Amino acid sequence: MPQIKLQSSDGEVFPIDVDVAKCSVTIKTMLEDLGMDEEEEEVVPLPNVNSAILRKVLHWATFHKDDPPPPEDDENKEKRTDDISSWDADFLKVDQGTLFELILAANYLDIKGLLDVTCKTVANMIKGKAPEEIRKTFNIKNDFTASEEDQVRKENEWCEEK
Amino acid sequence: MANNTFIPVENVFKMRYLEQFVHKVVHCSSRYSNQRNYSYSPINLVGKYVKYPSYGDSPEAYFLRSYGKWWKDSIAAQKEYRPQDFDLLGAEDFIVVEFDCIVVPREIFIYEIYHPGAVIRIWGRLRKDKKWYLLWEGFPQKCAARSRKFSPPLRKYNCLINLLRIEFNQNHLDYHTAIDAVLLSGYEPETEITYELIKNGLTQVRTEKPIGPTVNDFELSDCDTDKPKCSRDVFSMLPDEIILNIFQYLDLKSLSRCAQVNSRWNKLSQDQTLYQNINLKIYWYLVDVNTLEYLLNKIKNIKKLDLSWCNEYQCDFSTRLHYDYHNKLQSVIETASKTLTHLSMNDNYFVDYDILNEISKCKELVDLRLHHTFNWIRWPKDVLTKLVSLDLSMTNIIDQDLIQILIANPNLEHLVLDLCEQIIDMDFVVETVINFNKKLKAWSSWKTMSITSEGVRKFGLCNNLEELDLGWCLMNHVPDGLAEIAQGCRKLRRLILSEWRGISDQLLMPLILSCKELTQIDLIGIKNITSELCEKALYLLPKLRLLDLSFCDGIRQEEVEIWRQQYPHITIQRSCVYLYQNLN
Repeated sequence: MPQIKLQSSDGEVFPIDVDVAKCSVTIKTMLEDLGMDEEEEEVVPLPNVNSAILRKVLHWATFHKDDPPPPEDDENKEKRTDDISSWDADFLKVDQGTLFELILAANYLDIKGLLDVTCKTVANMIKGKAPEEIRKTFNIKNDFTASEEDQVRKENEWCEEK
Repeated sequence: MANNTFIPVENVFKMRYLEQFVHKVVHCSSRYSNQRNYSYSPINLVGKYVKYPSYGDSPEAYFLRSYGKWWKDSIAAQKEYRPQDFDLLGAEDFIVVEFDCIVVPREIFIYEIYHPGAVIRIWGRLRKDKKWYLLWEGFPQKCAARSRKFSPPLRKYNCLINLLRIEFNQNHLDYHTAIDAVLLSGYEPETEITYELIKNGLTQVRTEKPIGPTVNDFELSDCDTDKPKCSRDVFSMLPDEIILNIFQYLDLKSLSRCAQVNSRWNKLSQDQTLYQNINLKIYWYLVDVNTLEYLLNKIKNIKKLDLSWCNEYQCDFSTRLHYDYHNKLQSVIETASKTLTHLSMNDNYFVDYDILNEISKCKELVDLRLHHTFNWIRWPKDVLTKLVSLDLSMTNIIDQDLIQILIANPNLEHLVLDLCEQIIDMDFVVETVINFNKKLKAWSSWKTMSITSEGVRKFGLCNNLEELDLGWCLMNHVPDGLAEIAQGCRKLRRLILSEWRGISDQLLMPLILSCKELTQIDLIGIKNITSELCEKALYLLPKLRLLDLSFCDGIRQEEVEIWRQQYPHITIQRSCVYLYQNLN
């Protein structure tokens, strides 16, 4: 199995099967554009991903390397969030910072499957929560003025039990 | 909460305990009966039970039309418009019943006498009031084949009600479910003052913490195992497009709550791409003028809109709010008219001529569902032209208007006309379909009784037909025309011929010999067919999965038992008419 080397932002080098690395459309395109020969000992720099996150990403990609390609993004795409596999659910039992860094890494590396499952996980953390609970969960500052907040609540109160 | 103690109002005031059966059926989304027919009709819910504790198929009870996956699997069935907003308990149908006396509800008994286990929710309300109280909800149940007096533990409210809404999920059932009666017991206020005090919530109404799943508040707890919190706002790390990517998985209710988090979330949650498909059906008990107002500025690019069941939580037509809601509904459809491709307004009282007029201006519509909308008679002159699926079941559509629609929609593939009792000459409707709707794949005119064998014969020219439901259609005519169908409809997968009395093996045999795709055959009530025909069907049709032989008197139960052994992959239905006495 041919391998390539990926270098994280903090300089750690990860040798990895080309097949696994190609889960990332960004890496795949890079290899094709640069005409990088798989035999060469070149290192692909990934300045936006640190070693801790890259290790997680590669762990995920290795497990999912034989997945069928994810469906094209269209309006009929499955939008339910109760279909996260138990492996992925376990994999994503991480602290919030890591989860969000994984989202950013999946976005940067263009790994659709990982982006979908991490976004679904965050969506599940939002579901069923009141605005204040959401703020607390994600440490978000409420920047509405009192009158704005009142206005926004009125616009959206249809969904609350009367 | 610690001080969440519930004090039943009957402990405080002097109240009269009473038990009452249904006085009147107000609304129902499904029936197995024609309008003026009492067999299996919802009207059978009125009054005391008549069959319980016997078990079996009895026309004296209320029957739901569908069971199992067979109806959902039809190519004509509505696909979900917005998968993010789904009902965890899967409500398929509902019935609203009224009681004579206004009570504080304490116990409800549902007398299920055939295939019990479909009740998933019970709501209570005062007719004059707006609010529906969710008295109980729970998953559909697998039950033994015996009658059941179902009495789920009710949530405790000190509320006054005289309406009950019962919701069903019959997807797991092996056959039709039947309800004999509904008993509501509770406490009636003895004085006007008590009544007013309770009605106005002055009796410290406290609710128990809900038991069981709260469907619209997803408690997907294992995805949210109190992750160690970050001290910073992690969302501020994310660009807008990723936040939108997260938001696209949210249901409408969650999006409304996100809008209230902060100004950035508010802006992002208004993004039109999040509102291309909207399903308000699961929020029917919340939808009012404000909901529609909320929608109005979000639906510029809307494609699919489901407003089924959204009756503005009212049963009364006379109040002013009704008109506000109606007008707002009209504006919503008008605003959506340029882009809307799918519209579902099943069981919606508010569909009248004015609303239809707006609908008929939605020129891009391909999928239109108006099941059980009964406040209109005439269809507007302006007709749609791009329809692929049209459901007009349980409506008052008349021949002339239907013909006009059919002529204008050459792409029509699915047509549902079940229980359309105003259609006088179905033969001519079929002839129109033959000439103008050559792509038709699914026809259903179950219990629409104006077809003759001439009309049936013409289906032989519908070469693309995959599903044909003519159950209870031909009762007063000589059955014929099946040879032409066998000849012309080679793709036929589903064939429903219930109660085609007088039909014989000889007439049915050509179908079994030529339509090799058949997966479902319904021969309910055909007395003359013999076991020879059934054996041929079971043996010769490789894809057969459902064969309904209920009330086929020419076939013995022992034979059915043997076939069930021989063909375990085929569901052979045989309604049980014997009365089984419950032991307890």
